[in-house]
Amino acid sequence: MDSDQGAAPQPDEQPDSSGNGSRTAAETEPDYRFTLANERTFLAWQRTALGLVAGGVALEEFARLSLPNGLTHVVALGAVTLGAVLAVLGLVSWTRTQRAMRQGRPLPISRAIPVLAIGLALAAVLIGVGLVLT
Amino acid sequence: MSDADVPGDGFGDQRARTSLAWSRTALGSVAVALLVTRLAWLYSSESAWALVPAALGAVVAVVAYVRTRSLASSHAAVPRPEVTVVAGVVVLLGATSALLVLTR
Repeated sequence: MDSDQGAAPQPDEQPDSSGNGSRTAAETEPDYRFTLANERTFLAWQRTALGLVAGGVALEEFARLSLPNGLTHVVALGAVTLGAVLAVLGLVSWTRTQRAMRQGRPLPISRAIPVLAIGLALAAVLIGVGLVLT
Repeated sequence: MSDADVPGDGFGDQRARTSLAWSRTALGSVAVALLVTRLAWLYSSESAWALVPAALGAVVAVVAYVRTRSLASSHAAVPRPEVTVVAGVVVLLGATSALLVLTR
């Protein structure tokens, strides 16, 4: 393994290159692979959020014929709101994970996971009820 | 054997994966932005405000390009401004869509 590949955390003797200026002397730069993996996880959350926003808009636009009007409205608004919330939670999760890696602490559990699971389950139940009612 | 020689573990591979993830996110943002723009354009009687989502999509595309360039030219610095902008744009796209659903 190349010594400059950064596989092991290095003592923090260099200026902060993160651009956030929040690294303290007790923190170390994690392996770049973990940093990039964290970045990709963040992007995956943003894509999930975008999917929910698109799904909400599409539901409002195209599901009016097969679902009760008010229910479509509620589910569409819920999906769009959930998308916006997930985008924020993705950013929070990225920040917490980055900090935990630098401080050598265990990685935190993302709050976005239960929010997404409950939101999707709720939407599925509501759409199911709507389909039964129509 | 260096890290760069191990498939899937080297910096080049990680960099390529991350660049692709940025590209996918930019594509998704532009697609959603265009969808929201189209509907906003229809419902707002072709008001200039309807073009805001399209501009937001373009912002993500530019940020993705900048990040891909920085990944290609240097080691992985933590992209705090980039991730903040992307999350902000997705939130704004969500807010615009919610407004669209509410006012329709």
